[in-house]
Amino acid sequence: MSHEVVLVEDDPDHAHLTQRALSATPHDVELDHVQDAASGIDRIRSSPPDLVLLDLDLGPSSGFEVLEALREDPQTACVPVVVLSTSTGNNRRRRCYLEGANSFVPRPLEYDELQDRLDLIVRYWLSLDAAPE
Amino acid sequence: MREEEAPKAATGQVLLSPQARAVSWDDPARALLGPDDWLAHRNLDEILDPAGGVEPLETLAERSPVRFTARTQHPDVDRLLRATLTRMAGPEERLSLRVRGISTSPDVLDEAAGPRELGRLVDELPVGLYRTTPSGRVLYANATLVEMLGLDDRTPLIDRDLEAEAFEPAYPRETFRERLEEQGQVRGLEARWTREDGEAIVVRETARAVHDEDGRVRYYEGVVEDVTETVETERRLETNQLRLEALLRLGPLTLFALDDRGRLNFLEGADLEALGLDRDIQPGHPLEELEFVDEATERTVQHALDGIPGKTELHVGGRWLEADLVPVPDERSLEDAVIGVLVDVTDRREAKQAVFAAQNRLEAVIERAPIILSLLGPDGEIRYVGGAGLEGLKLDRASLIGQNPLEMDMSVSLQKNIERALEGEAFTETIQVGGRWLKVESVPLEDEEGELKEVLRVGTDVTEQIRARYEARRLNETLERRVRERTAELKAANEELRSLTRSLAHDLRGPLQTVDGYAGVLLEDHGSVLDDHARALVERIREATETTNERIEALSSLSRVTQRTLELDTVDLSEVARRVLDRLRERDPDREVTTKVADGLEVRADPDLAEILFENLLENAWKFTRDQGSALIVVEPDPEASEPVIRVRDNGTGFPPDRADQLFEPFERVSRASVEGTGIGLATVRRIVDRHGGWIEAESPEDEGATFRVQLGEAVDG
Repeated sequence: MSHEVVLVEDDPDHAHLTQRALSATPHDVELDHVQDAASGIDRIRSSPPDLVLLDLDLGPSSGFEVLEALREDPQTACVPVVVLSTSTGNNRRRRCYLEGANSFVPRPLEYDELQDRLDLIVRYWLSLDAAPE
Repeated sequence: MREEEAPKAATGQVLLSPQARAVSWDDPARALLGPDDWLAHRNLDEILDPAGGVEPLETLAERSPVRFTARTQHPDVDRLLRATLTRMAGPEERLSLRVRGISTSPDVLDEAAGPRELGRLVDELPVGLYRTTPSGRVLYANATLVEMLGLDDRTPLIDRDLEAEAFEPAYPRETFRERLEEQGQVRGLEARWTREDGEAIVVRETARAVHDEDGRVRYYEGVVEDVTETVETERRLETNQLRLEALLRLGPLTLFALDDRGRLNFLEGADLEALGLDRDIQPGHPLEELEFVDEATERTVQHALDGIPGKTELHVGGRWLEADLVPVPDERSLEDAVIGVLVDVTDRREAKQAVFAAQNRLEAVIERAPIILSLLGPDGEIRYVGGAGLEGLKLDRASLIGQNPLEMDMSVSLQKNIERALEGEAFTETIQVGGRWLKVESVPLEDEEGELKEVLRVGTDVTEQIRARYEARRLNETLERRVRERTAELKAANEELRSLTRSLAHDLRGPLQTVDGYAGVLLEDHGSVLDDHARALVERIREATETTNERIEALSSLSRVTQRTLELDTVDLSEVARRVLDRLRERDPDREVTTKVADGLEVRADPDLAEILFENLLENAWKFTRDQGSALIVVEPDPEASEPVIRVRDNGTGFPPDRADQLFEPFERVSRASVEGTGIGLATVRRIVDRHGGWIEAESPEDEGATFRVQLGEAVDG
């Protein structure tokens, strides 16, 4: 069964690498990529996916905008959101959880490591976790 | 008969020798007494016939001058004379006789010398006359004697037997008879008589026995004088004399008297010897001969002789004496013309000098002291004001004395201060007076009964001190404010640095991830066409990104270390070291490193920073022992140190000794060998050590690896 994953990431290189890393995993995933918060909110509202991979630094906008919007809307309130970000400050992590993110995974330096982590994320959230519909 | 009518006022003077022989005389004397050839070398007794039983020469022995009535014995001169015999002052002891004619009238003579008159004279003489039988029967008593006895007439007396009646039981009859027998007369026998009215009188009797041709006593005749008053006077005199002697004996007075020529008549006192004065000074001793008598004294003596009392000071026998001279009034005609008292004033003088000196000293001190000192009376009037503090106040000191400050114009605070002081309170208060700050101390001075006598006030100008204090306070506040500002600035700067570092680290991570990412992709997609060399190149790209990442992390860590507040706790460094080494082993499982960590390395430190410190030190050691076959890392206490010091040593490549200082600078790569190391690690260590107030040293003996010695402030006794 194919799962829908939305990636909210403004850096094209990071997005490309994430896509590649994901595709290297043995999961059937349909990855949709948006580059800013507004588009992200629209896309997720229009058709709630199975998982959201959210970067916090979206250029002019911020991942928190997305979180807030999603959690406000009952339609999207229960969509699993995994924050995938280079900034790992404790305060930001805390805020993510408080604003309704389900998980926080730091973006690793190494590409190999990225592959491993994405594999774990997908396995957990798309296979193990039973999110409400 | 030569009846020269000598003028009534004319007085003749005759100079007599000490033996009363006429030496020289003047004309009036000649007229009254007799011609020259008759007068020459004649004795006084031969010249004059005194009346009234007076013996001039004998009386002169007791007092001088002697006045009496007399007639010259020259047959041709018949004048009644008033004579004055005087002992003259001077060394020759001559006598002077002055004579004045009383009257030449014959009527007077008859009147005075007729028998009836004579009878009356006898009866009314101011002395009592009597004749008694040897046994005491009164034959005759004159009116005066009768009166003396307190009787109305002589009837009761006549024919009374004095002895038989025991007329006067206390009468010393035995003495009377004895004297009469021994000397043929009684002179001046004193007795007490009781009058008829009971009053007691004292009498002096002079009597003799009149004998018949056979030598038997016919009768006694005598003269009785009422000397009651005289005796009283004599007794008083004696008492006074005794008192005087006692006074002089007991001192401290010395009494002296001078005659009318200024010669010493009398000198007596307890201290004569001590004063170096001779007790044996004879009357008539000239003053000038006493060596301590100076000009001033002679002048004062002269003034006294002229009737002006005075004082003079003498320096005798090392002591100072004050002589007080009082002239004796002329009218008394006593022996002494001047009486004086000598008092030893040495002590008084010395005391006065001491007081004077002390006062001078005190005043000198007061006038130099930078104070204003004043003494107020109990009502507030100024009795004294002084002190160097008055300079510049332009006050006329003299005019202030006697003024009452409460009546002057002044500030309320000063007025209240003075009022409080006048209530007898001792206190110190700082008040403002005319633009200056004065610290005024009031001290009440009381007498033995606790009555306020005076108030002492000492004022010190403390304006400068108070200003200085204000200045200091102001300065302090300014400084504190500046410190606060600086601290805030520093904090802000630190904060800025911190956030800058954080954002930098954050911003760099992204691109790094991209670089590594694409390197990986490159290998994935095109690895098959890459030869080993190319693949190795790609590896190096990836390694470089890893290094960059580490440096960024270390920089972040360093800025964090600088920023945070120390939270001290007891930290077991042995545990920390072991934990860190375990992590290193986990990260690098392929390496074989022998580690030794001593137990019980406890210090008081910030636990997190201590962890970072050891992370850096041990990572350093881990890296630098990479090339060693049997790598060794030891964490132990420094046995040689006197204070608690921890040693971290390894047997790695070490570092050249001349680079030891730069070891702890950020980004210095010191090792010869190309072993990677961020170079920030040790800077961080240094920063942590500094924040704990400790120190760190690094040593690298040739081929013996590196040894770091760390002291983190106090250690806790394990």
